[in-house]
Order: sequence, then C-alpha cells, then structure tokens
Amino acid sequence: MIKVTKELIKELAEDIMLEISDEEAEKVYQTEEKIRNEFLKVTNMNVDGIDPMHYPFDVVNTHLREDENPVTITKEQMMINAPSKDKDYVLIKKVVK
Amino acid sequence: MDKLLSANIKTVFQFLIDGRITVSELISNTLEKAHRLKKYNAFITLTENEAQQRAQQSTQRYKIKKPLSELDGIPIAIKDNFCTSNIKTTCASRMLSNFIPTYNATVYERLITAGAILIGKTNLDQFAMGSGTVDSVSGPAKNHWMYNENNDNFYISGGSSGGSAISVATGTCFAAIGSDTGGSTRNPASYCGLVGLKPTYGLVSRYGLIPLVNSMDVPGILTRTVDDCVVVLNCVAGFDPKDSTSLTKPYRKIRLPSVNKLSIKNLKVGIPNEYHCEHLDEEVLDVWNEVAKLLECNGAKIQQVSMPHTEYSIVCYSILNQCEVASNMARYDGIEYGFRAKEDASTEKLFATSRSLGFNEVVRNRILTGNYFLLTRNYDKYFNQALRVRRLIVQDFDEVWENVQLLLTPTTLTTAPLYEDFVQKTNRDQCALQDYCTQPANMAGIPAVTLPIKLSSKGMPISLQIMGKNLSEPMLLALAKYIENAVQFKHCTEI
Repeated sequence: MIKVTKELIKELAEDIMLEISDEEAEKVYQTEEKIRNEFLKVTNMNVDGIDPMHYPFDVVNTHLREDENPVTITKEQMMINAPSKDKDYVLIKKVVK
Repeated sequence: MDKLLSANIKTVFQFLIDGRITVSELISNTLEKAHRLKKYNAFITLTENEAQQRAQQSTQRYKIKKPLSELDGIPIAIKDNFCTSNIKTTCASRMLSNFIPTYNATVYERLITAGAILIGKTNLDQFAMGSGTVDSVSGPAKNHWMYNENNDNFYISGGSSGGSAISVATGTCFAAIGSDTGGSTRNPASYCGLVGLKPTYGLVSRYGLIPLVNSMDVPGILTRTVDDCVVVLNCVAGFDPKDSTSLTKPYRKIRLPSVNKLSIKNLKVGIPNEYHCEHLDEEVLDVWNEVAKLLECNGAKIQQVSMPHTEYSIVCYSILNQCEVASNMARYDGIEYGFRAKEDASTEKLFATSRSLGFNEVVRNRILTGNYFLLTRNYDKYFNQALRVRRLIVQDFDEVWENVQLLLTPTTLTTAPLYEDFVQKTNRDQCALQDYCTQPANMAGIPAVTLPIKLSSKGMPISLQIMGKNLSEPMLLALAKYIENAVQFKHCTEI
C-alpha cells in the first residue's frame, strides 16, 4: 500500500483536474487520515461471503424503456447555458497557438 | 392572514373553496412574508412572476369550482438542487450560479400539475454536502427559533435542506421539498420543529434531482403537520419511467384515519440500543423515554432491540458518499454549462481552474477524498468493504422487522447548535455527528419520519424519528400522527 502524502494528494488533484493549495492538500490529507483511522474497525471485520450492496434493494431493473429516441433537449435549449457561444457553437478560447 | 398562513393545507383549501380568500391574495401575502423574512436566508430565488401567473390561473379554477386538487393554489418551496424549467437552479454553488434547467424534476412537475404554486427555490449547503446549511454561496440559513436580530450568533437551521425547513417553519409556505441522502430533510426538520419525511428509496422519483449519492438520494417532504405530509406524498409518489431506480409497484394513496380512530394497541415498537450513543443529549434522551412510555401506556408493545452494525454505519456512509460524489462531480467542466474561469493556458488548465473556482472547499475535499478511495489499490479495501458492511446494516434492519413493526429513535443527538459552535468543526465532523441517527435509513433505503415533540430548556425543538420497513409509510405516518396529537407541539410561525 502506497503511503498517503500531501504530494500524492496534489498528484491526484492534478489527475482529476482540480487545483489545490498546499494548505488545502493538508486538510484533505487530514480528512483522509481520519476516515482511514475510523475505518480500521471496518477493515478488520470478517465479511467473507458477503456481497457488496450497491443499492439498498437487490431488485433487478425490469423497466428498461423501448429502444426509441427518448425526449432530449433541443440544440437551442442546450445553448442557453453555454458560458460562451457563437450561433450553434460553444466557444472556448483558442488553446493551440 | 398570518394565522391562515400558519394553518394546515386542508383548512386553506376549504377557505379557497368557500371563496373566503382567493389564491392571488394568498400568494401575494406569502410573497410579502417571504420578503419580510429575508433575514433568515431561506430562499436563493423567489419565483414571484411565475407564482403570480399561476395564482391567476388557479383563482380562475376556483371561480368555476374546478380546482385541480387540494394542493391547487397552495404555496410551496423547492430546494435549489431540483431542476425547474426556466428557473435558476444553483445548488447554492458558484458552479451553477447561472444554470437554467430546460426541464422539470418529476416531483416539481407533479406538484404543479396538481396546482401547487412554487414561491421560491430554497437555500442549502453547496451541492447538498452538509448538515447545517452554512456552506451556501448565498450565506447560511438561520433558524427562526430563539432568533435575536441584535446578536450575530444564531441557531443553525440544520441541513442540507435548511432553507426548505425555514420556509415552512416560518409559515412562508405550507410544504417544501428537500432532498435526503443521509438525513438532509430530517435533520433541518428536527432543528426547526417540523415533520420531515424520507420516503422509501425509489418511491418518489429522483429525476431532475441533481445527484449527490445516487444509491441513497431521495426527495424529502417538509411540512408542519403529518396530514399535510400525506397530501404532498400522495401527489409526488409513484412510478416514474424517467428514473431507472423508481419502484414499479403501483402507489396506493395513503388515507390516514382521523385522530379519534387511530389506535396503537399491540403495535410493536422497537428501541434500538445502539442509538443510545455517545454525545446523545440528556434532554433528547428524556424525550425519547417519555414518548416510549406514552406509547406503552396506550397499548403499544415497546421492546429493546439490537442492531450491532449501526456503529459502523457512519464511517461506511462517509466512504460511499465521497466515492459517489467523486463520480457525480466529474461532469462539471465549465464548457457546455456552469462556471467557466477566464483561463487560456491549456484546455486542462481551463477545466482545473473552472472546477477549483466553481466548487467550494467542502466539495473539492469530497471529490479528492472519494477519488482516493476509488484508486485501484484502495477500491476493494475501502469502497467494496463499505458496500459489504452496508449489506450487514440492511440485514440488521431485516432481522429487527421480524420482531417489531417500527423503530423509535432520536432524529438528532442534540437540538440545533449555535452557528459559531457548529462552524468550529470540519464539514466531515459536523456530518459524522449530525447524521448518526438518520443515515442508516438511507443505507437501507427504508422510510423514516421525524416529528417535533417539545421544546428544550433553551427553547429549541426536540424531535424524534420513526423508521419502518420498506413501503411502510402508511403505518409510519399513522404513528407519527398519533404522537403529534398526543404531544400537541406548538409551532412558531406568526413572526
């Protein structure tokens, strides 16, 4: 198991596209350490033969929709929330010089 | 008018039917009150134009004696993490501060179809990640109980649906929709002296609720009375093809008996030992004992039960919450919608800066922590392990239901804390303490309701929680109504 360090947290932040300060990395480190310590009692539990439970009920989804075009938003509706746009296009700044 | 705003839905409906008041007058007064009580910061957006327009239509329907339902013309509020078409939905965040959904959440759609009138979108912790409504870009929601304008300190509203709770508790509206992932409806309902229902997972559609933890999120209902809660539940519950986790079993509307016909004789109520835990306030414990005794004296069979995995629930909940948050928050990149930073060094830098400035520290912390637990080397040790223990927690409940029909517990370990005390703790520590009694119901998907019992020596509401097995809402709410009638809690709405 790789030891958790502030450097690892900063590396992880970069991977998931978040910018964090050293001070914030320290806080995240403390949160993780606290949870990991509290989780020790859970780690040590014997759960042999117990399957993970992703949803509260083990119910098989039986109501998949028909394979038809579902209601989607129109292009005009979609563009309402674009931070920057030009007619039908969402704009971002040119990043290739 | 203030008295009418404090009444229950049935009474107001009768006033509207009788023509003693029009919907337009009711809505005008409601909006005036919302403005007057801005100091509590319950609302992020007031939907005045929308409300007045719908009020006119509703007034016309009453004129021709054709209201759509008993909710027609009734002012309601909705937490600002439910999508409302053409109405800003911010999640109390900078990231979505200008986001205008193009569709309605199913709960909202069903309410307006029944004629209910939205007066505003309510305050919450950013993306519903909190238990105090203190982490909103709009500022904290303030509890109206024991509020002193001359004092900067105040009691928190609880959270994350604090704005919804304040809007109902002050009599600004008759019902509000919150969301409940680990207790976010029940916690503020408890602190503000309201009825707060977390329905069975899948009974009420999540469609249009901006997700926090998909496997635990449910829309919740906040009202002043149990009967009002039933009216709203009957409107919003039932299968929704737009939500793949919606229960397909047809919903049968609940009809609670009148108070004089309610009987709890031989009702088996469990008192779980594990909820008598560290940090449980003496006054809350006393109230818990008093109500258990009250039920026993009236014919219920009270029984101590044990749920041994409860003590592991909160830490497993923390892990699962952060892992699902990490996944859900990946969609926000500031390109198609949401906050975008002024950054042009590279596409990656644009994403990273937008996300870092668009989210607050609590959200960033949870995303990072969740991603850490989801790393390949940690996945089984933390995420899968928490999911296995989740099954044991669910099994605890299943075993208990073999002996009792309902469980009676505290909702929160204490009454509402003062803001200055609350913010001394980290968000994680706040939630670990505040959600202790409420989050097991989310882990198991079962229904739970909180209701106010009495005031503490400091004048703050003390509430209790009732939990039942899946789809036991009729029994759960019947017991809540019985207790409500027995304790006669006095609300504080006429401000």
